Amino acid sequence: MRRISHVVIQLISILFVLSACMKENIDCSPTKIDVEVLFTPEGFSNTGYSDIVLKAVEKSAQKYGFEYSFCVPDSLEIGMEYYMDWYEDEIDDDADRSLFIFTSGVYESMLSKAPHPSKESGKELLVFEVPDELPYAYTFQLSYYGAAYFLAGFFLQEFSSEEKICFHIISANPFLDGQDYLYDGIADSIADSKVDNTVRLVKMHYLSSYPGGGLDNQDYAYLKCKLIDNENPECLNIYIPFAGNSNMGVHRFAHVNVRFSIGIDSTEPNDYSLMPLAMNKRMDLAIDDFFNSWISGDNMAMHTLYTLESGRVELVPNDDEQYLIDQCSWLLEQAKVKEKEYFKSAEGSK
Amino acid sequence: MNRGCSILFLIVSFLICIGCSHSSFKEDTTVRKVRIAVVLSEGSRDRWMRIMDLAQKNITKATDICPVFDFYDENSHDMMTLAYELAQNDSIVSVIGCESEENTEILAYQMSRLKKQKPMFTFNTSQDVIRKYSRKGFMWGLSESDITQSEVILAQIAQNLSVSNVSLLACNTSYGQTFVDWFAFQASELGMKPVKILQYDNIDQIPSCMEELSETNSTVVCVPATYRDAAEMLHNSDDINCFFAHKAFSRKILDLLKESYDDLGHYMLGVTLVPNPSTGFQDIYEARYGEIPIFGEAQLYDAIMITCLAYAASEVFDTSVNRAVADLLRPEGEYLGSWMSEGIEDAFDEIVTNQTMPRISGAIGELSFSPEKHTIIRYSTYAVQYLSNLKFYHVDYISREYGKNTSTVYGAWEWEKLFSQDFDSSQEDANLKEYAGNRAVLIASSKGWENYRHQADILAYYQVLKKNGFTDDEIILIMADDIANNANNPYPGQIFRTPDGENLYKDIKIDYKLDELTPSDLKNILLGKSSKNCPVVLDSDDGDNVLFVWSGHGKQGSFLWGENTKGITGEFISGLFREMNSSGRYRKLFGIIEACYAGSVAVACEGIPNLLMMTAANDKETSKAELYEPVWNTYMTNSFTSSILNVIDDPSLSIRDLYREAFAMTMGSHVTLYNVEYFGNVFNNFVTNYFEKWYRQGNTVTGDSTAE
Repeated sequence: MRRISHVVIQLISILFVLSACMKENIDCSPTKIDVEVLFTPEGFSNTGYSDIVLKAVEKSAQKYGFEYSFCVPDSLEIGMEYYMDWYEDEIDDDADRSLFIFTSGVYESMLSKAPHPSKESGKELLVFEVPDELPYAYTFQLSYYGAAYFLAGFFLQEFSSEEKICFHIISANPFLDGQDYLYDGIADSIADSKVDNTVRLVKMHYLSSYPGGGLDNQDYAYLKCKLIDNENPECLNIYIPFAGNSNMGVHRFAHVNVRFSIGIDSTEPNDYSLMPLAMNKRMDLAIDDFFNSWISGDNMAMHTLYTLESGRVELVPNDDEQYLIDQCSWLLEQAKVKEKEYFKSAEGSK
Repeated sequence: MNRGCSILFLIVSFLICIGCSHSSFKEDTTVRKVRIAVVLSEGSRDRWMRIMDLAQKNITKATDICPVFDFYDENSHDMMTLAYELAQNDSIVSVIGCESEENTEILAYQMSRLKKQKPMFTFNTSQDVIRKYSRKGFMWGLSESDITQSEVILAQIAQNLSVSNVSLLACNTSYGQTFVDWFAFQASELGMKPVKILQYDNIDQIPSCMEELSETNSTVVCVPATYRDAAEMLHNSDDINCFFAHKAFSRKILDLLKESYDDLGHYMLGVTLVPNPSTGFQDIYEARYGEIPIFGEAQLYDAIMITCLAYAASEVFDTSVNRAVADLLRPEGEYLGSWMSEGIEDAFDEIVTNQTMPRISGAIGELSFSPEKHTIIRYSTYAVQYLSNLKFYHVDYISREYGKNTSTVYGAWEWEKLFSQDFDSSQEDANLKEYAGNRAVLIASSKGWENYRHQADILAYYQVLKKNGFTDDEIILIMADDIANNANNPYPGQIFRTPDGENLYKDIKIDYKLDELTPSDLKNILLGKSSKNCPVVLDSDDGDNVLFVWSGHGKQGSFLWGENTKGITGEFISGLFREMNSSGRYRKLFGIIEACYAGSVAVACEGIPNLLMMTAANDKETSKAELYEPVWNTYMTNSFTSSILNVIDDPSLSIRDLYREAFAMTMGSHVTLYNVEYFGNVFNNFVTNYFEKWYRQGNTVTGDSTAE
């Protein structure tokens, strides 16, 4: 049995494969598969990104009837040791195929230097949240550009009479994939709003300057927001967390101090007093898409980009704000168009 | 006998044996069944069954052990009988339960009577249960004490609601009593003023209590016994900011509010106990079952897992299962196993193959147990939760432990506890008469077996003084003397303050029994006025340092004197000491007072020259007993006394040192010094000046700065 010190390795066994197949009325793979999932060191917080991934993998495991193990390492390096163990081991006797999932693109630079399994080995890699296709792995990414474009436009319209509005992105660290989309979406929305004699800003704040840092420090996230708020007293400050399990500290600050914040990844906007909407990732659908294709072998793309239009990124309004969101259907369409243009232009610039 | 058989039959009829026919069993191994009794409520049986099933699957997949369960509804059995039978049944490896405090205590009582300890796991950790059984070594608490819950609630109020006044409405159960006992202490530590503390006996009293509390202009901490009480509190909470304790957040309150109250718009805020989110238990549970786990499910899972691993270890290491539990849950070492089947397999392999004992973590989080109490988990996780429009929401996760994907109790604040008093180290002592000798007055002012601790504590002081050279002529000892030969005493003629301590009831001279004296007699004794009734009096003068130790019960403004509930008031005591001072009955007087609300009496003594009072509690706090002996059914000592007697032997200990030690080590109340300004410099006055005779042959005695 594989053993790694300092690493929590956990296994879920699904014992009702056949019954699950019958219930779901789907085609079961004739081959047996084994899945290993590597999370980032911050682990679970019940409301963070890793949580929605774990829930999604669990649901897929039940639906497709596979077994999986997962690892929350103490560090990225130890996470890579877990990968190397998988790479070096033979596939389990009772499995025909084996898939290793990196749940974050933060591993990409280390993975690029590590050995990769050949197709013949029956082992394959899937890496979440990387912007481009990798030669050795399936990848996908969910973009917040369109959602961010919408939310900024929504606020700018709602508070058009405010002299100064500032969107503060509280990011865990500068190395997180996907935060550029968030920033650019807001910045482009501000640029397109064309309101004279007003100040509209988007600012990036980091909780840590190291890769993997700042993802699990709710207290510091709270404090950071407090400092930002003190520095911008004349501003309508809107807080947008992008910091894994530290997000809760941002939301708590906003809730307690009556400030606007935006939900992210899996936030329930009704939990907070001033959270008009959340932009959430439907990892359950994205992961289901992957397994559906991977198990059947049909239409398997090496890289998939999910935008607002895909339904895998969704805007979830607070119950009280639903009507306002409905009134902004034009903005929603504009956000989708802008997101398409954004990636088209990024594609062109490569 | 027939009746017993019938009861047994009834119990067996509740037996749930989940078959071990899983295909995942290793074919070449023999499955060992581990029988576990689960005593919880029938109301949530579907949830308990779900967890037993999950644990059984994961454990049988990872090991050759299969847990099987006997499930008992704690509400439909005579608990005393059931607990006795479960304790005596050797085929049962461990017992898990209960949900109610009362049933938990009964179960713990019966389990504590076993000579060979059997592990009992509980997630009901009221103060009473912990104080009585946590040091016994068999009861494993999988939730932090409710004392912490009170602390978490008050910290949330202090930080997030920014209020300065708080009040408490608590049920009159051991759960509610924990809050009553700790509320004032913790509120003070957090810089808030405890305004009013009310307890209710039944639900009908809640409306009037809430009305009374509405006039206090304070945030009210609501500690209901049941969700029904919580609904009633909520219904009567107009114009009151309320913050609810854990038991309010039952899923049953939703139906009740819907059916019986027209309060759908109500907002209920509070905290509830949850598994630490970092374990992933809640995520997987939600994904698998489509709902969030209720309180107790993760704990039940862990209790089953621990039992099975301990069972394996007990066979490998040839030890008892309970001993193996203690080793698995020891406070040091790296974690190896975890709650999922591969983690269990790792731990099992470590035990069986490597023959070493792993340290394991569970579904609730790291299974780190308190190094002080040993059997209570060190950290629980709380969710700040609110109920709005008949839906529950979690807004934050809180733990006293740093990190682990929660906020800390004190949040992002630079929190300064309002800790100990500061004293002037340059203060000068009065120019007193030359030191001539020591006298001591030791009074245990309660009676009865249930108050064993007061007399034990006083005798402990007595023995210290005797050891330090005091003669009986120099000590006035007053106590009821109804303990040593009490019918309840399993050691007739002996009194102990700790389980392994010495007999304190030896070579003693009791000057007066409590019943023989009235408060006015006490006055005459201390003023040296002998009479026919009171021939032995304090023969001190203005050259003597007098130690005055009092241990008993107190209420606001007075100490109780035996069964005299009027007792000794602050006015009486201050009048007595003033007269002692003016008539030259002491050089310096150092009072050590162990009683609830002792500060409310001591404060009356302020302004009396050369007198110092150190109290176990301030004017709003109860003081706390400790070391419960279940077989004796009484506490052996008090926390304050223990903190003093643990350090008293150090000859370099100043009064200020003693105060700081006592302050730090006394749990549940603030040790306080009164009248420092009129006493002198507490840095240069030493404990030995009061506890040790000045002239003792062969000893060098630490000096008194004002002494010669």
